[in-house]
Amino acid sequence: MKRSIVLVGLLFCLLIPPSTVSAEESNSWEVDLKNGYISTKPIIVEDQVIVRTSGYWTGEDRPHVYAFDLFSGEENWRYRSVSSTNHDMTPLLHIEAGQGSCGSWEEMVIVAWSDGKVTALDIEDGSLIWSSQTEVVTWGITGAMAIDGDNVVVPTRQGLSRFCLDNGVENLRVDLPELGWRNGVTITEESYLIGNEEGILNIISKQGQVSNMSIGDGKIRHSPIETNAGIVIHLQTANGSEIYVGDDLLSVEGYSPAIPLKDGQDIFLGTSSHIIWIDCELICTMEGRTDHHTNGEITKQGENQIWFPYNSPEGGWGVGIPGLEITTAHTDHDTYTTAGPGFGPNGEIALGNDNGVLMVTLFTSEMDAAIDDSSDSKNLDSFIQESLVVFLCLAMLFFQIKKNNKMATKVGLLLLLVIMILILPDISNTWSKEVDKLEEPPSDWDDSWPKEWQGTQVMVFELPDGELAVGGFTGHDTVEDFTDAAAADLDIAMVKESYDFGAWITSFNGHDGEGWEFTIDGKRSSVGISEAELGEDSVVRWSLA
Amino acid sequence: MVLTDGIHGPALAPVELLALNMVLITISFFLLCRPTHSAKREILVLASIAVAAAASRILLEPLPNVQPLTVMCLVMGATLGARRGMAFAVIATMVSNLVLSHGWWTLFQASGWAAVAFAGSRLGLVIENTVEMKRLAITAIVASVLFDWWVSLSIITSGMTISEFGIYLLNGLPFDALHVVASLVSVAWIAPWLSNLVFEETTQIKEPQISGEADGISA
Repeated sequence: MKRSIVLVGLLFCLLIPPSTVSAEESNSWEVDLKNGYISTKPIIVEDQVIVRTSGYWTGEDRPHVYAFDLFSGEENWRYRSVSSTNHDMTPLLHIEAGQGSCGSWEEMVIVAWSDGKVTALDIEDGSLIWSSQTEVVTWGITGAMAIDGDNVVVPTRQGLSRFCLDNGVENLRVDLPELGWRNGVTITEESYLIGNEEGILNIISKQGQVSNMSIGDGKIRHSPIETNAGIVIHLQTANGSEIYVGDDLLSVEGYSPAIPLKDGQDIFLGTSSHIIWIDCELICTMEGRTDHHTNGEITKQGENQIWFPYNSPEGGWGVGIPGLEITTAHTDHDTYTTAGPGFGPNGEIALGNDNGVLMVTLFTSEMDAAIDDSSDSKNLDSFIQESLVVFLCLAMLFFQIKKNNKMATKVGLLLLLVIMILILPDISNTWSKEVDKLEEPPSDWDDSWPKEWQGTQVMVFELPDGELAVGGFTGHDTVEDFTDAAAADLDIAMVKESYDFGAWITSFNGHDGEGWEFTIDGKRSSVGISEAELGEDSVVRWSLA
Repeated sequence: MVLTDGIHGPALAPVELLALNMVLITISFFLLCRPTHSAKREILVLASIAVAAAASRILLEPLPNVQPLTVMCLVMGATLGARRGMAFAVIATMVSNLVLSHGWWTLFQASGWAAVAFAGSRLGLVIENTVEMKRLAITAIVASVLFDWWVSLSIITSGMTISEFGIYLLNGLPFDALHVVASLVSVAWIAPWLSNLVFEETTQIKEPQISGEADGISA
């Protein structure tokens, strides 16, 4: 009787749906990477979507590069950086297999990191092919790399390095006096172009000779754009931005310029106020302008669709041509977005946002066929699993009827194990959510502080020459707002810089070290100081990274 | 899925990994090379079963926390004694982790399974080549959970609080349950067969080997 009840119970377990991927029987899928931001565009290479994450990392958390099956959304591999702890803003670079004078190489993905490393990963399994180190001055590499024959050219924090694709051996190194940020490199026939935080455009010959020109009082945070009319620079300035052709000012624009896109002699640019189209066929002329808020990567789809990530809480992407019609593409996870979309050859689109959600949509009939294949494969897996369970049930029943209790027990245990393995993902997820509720909110209260500070906002600066704390504040909504007030109260000199992901504090009282990071109530924030919200009794702690 | 970089605990530098390997190999060496009686064949049998156990771990790696090695350690400890059983545990862990992933956690896994083998040698789980199934099943349940918790210690870092570790253990309970059921399956399917195999091999070793003529001694 007992065994019969157990058998019925186990059969009931069959009704529990197995863990599923959201892509099943659909032409789209999505995955929450739960690993910081997606700040650079995913790339689609054959049947894989490859994406990287970025953020400020503490403890054991680190950024990853992930590869997913394009059709099913199943993870193929991931690569974790051990030592990159700041925002990784360099786009992934796909390299086809090839050969050249410095050697031959397999198909790979080159990833540059904020810890100064350049890593070449095998596209099939994410294994490391080679790795090279460049200099770190608070940050490492943040700009876009480029391919020059059999070399990859890397804009480093304070210079430029060129590595052989075969083995990562550095065959050109140029040190520059100024620091760079998101200062991608552009390759021309004769030279490499690279900007920096002082508004200087460096022209580096392929033998390493450097000449330069000052564009203006501002920062060059994109790859310089070579056009028929001259080199186009969108300079970030204290009061907004300026577009230059050579050293001639073409236009004064809004704040936080986006990474521009060159399409033939058409250039697409963006700021927090507008998206802009200029044509540089002979001379650069303004062709169109539309209100928009874009600070990230501008990308092109097909013949004439330009995508502009919308960097606001509403999120989404503006699609079209500035000055002409712009439509907005929305997703279920819209939020601040700076990453451009990745496009596949058959109309596939991979979208990522600041919440670390990757969304992939497949469109064409060929893709439908591929989805069918993928779906068939999943159905087959499901069929095999269910068949195994039914077979074990029948086997157990058979031995029970034959009164072979020993074998019935053995088969029954095996059946229980199979069912547990099948339902484990769902059980584990549900259980994990319940356990998370038990977790006490962290506290960063110090018993030595005055009791009057309890229930108010408290700020702690862990300066190298001693800790400073101040409390009793109320009404500050963000860490940036509160830090400004607390630093002023304690007479701490603060240097703050503005980036496209928000403000960034570089030093307190002249201490810059490897950068400053903050916690709220002892917990690291997933957003920057401009967005990190505070409660009325929050404790904010600043410490050197 | 290929996880190219583990996240089980602190990453070890090459020198630290070398030190860890040296410790584990030295332990195995001492456990094997100070036998109570000389038996090369016994060591060969033990090594063969250890390699087979490592292979089974590797094969079952896609199944989360299905670890037949726990019950194998109990049986090996019960049949061959504490010293041999612990050596088996360390060797099987090291060999399998060379493929699965080797690091700080190997020390906890090896010591955990060695402790399981030691417990197996002391609890009378196999008496005269008969596996005490009920006793073995109960031991396997307890050993599986304790082993999981012991290995979980490897993720503790300097900044981790006790409550955070408790939450981590709670999160792992479904996986502990799976380990328990997998161990019960191993008890039912593997333990009697393994015990018998070891018994037959060691019996052959312990029987006197006669070669040539034997002279009788008459009183």
